[in-house]
Amino acid sequence: MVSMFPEPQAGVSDLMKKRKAIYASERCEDVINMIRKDASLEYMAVIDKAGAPIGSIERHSLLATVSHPLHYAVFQNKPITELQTSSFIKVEASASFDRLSSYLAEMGVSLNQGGVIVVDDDKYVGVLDNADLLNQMMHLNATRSKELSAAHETVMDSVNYASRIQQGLLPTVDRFRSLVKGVGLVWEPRDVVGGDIYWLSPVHESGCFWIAMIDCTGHGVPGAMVSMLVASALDRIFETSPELAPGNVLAKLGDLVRRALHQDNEESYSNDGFDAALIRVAPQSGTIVYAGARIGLFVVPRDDEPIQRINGSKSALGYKGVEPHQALPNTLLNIAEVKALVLATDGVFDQPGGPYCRAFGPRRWMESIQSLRHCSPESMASALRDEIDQWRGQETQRDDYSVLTIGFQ
Amino acid sequence: MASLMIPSEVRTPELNFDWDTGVFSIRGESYPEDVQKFYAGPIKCFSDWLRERPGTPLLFEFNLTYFNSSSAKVIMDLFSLIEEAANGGRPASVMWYYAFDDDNAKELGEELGSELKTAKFQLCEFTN
Repeated sequence: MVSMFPEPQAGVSDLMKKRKAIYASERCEDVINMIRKDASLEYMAVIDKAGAPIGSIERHSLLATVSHPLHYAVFQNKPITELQTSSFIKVEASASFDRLSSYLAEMGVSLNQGGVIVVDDDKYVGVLDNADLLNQMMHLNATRSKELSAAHETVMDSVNYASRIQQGLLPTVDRFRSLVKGVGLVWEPRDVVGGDIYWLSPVHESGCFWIAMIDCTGHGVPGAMVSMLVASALDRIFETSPELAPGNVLAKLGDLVRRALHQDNEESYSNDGFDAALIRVAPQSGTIVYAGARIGLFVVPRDDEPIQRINGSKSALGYKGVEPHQALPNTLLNIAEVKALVLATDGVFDQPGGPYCRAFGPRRWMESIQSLRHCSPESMASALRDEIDQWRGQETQRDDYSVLTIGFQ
Repeated sequence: MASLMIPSEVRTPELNFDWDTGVFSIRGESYPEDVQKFYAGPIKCFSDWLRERPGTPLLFEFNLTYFNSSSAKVIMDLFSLIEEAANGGRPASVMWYYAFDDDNAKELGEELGSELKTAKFQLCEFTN
């Protein structure tokens, strides 16, 4: 792992000037003359006989004070301690530049003039002019912004790439359209990739096929990793046991994922799982069978019957546990009586928004479906997405959300 | 023993665990990036308290406007601890607060609350 921030190269001793200090006993006149002659003397330390700093002289304020002839005459023959500033900041030569700058920031020190006295074991060794400090800070700041944006770009490139992989694994609209009368797909991960996926099996020789909606715990990269695992486990179950009822498929899927994550023993550190809905469509027998774990099914009947909500079972799948998952209950529907089916992950229902920042909720959801029941699955899905986005308003998207509308008539 | 008080942040709720009175509350939103990191410590303290203060009656209040699935799992773990304590003879109740027009929070409360058999569970609707 490469650290995002290398330690700043410069320490205090690298930036310091080994400028000579002024002894406390020196006369003001001599110091003033020295400073007038040498424009580089911005900031100087005043030290006692032992070499310990006791005050400081800042060029501009010294020259301003003695610019008046009367003041000059008063101080001329006095020791420099009469004109020194006795409060000053000192720093150990061994200190890092970072430590110094966070200290200065904490103290609210202005860097517009003056400097810092550098000591080694309380003996004066040099000064840091604030102008140099300021330059160094600007330099570091520029370097770090560059590093930070490079690091951010690397992470985003990687996540965007991952998103292309994840989207590539999602079944296309065309594949759905070859099997049903229209489909609407909404896939809105909160962070480019996510824990939500929808899935479509190949068509079995008997003509039946499976459609699944999965919501893995977490979102972003961790969610996406679990979603890949769940999708491939589903592929495997369909290949080996296409005759299984959805409720049994989900139990088996829960077992497979739990075992793959080594969560089938109590000592397991991780504890991740997923919500799922699975429907098996068998056109030859005219039936649809649904089973779900925390993802319900909304049925738009063909006639004007009210929208029907079938709740899945309450427990999520795959989480840490020793007992195998129990088969989930199946619900049987007749294709002839179904106009459309709607599946959605909890990112829809839980999303806060509206005037009082309340969750979107299932009641509002069913009213929306009711008002859109005569639309095509495509326009129903995009209108539902608009309603969720509108409800959310200025609130942040809290979770990944997905919606799948499938038309049968 | 001083009570445990963690102020709420954007992604994490306020926790207020009063060890002396046995009143515990979680309020706000809960969707930390790493649920374990946020909850492991407080839950450990809570289960220690259950062990060390077996007689003290317990009241746990939840007032959550949003929580993600991993937080739901933590709530379920808390419910199991509370139910276990109730089964051991401790008076224990859980109050689940939700706004009158938040059918989602109400439903989630009903669902989670149905896990409690011995501990008392109460849904509390508030109006604003």
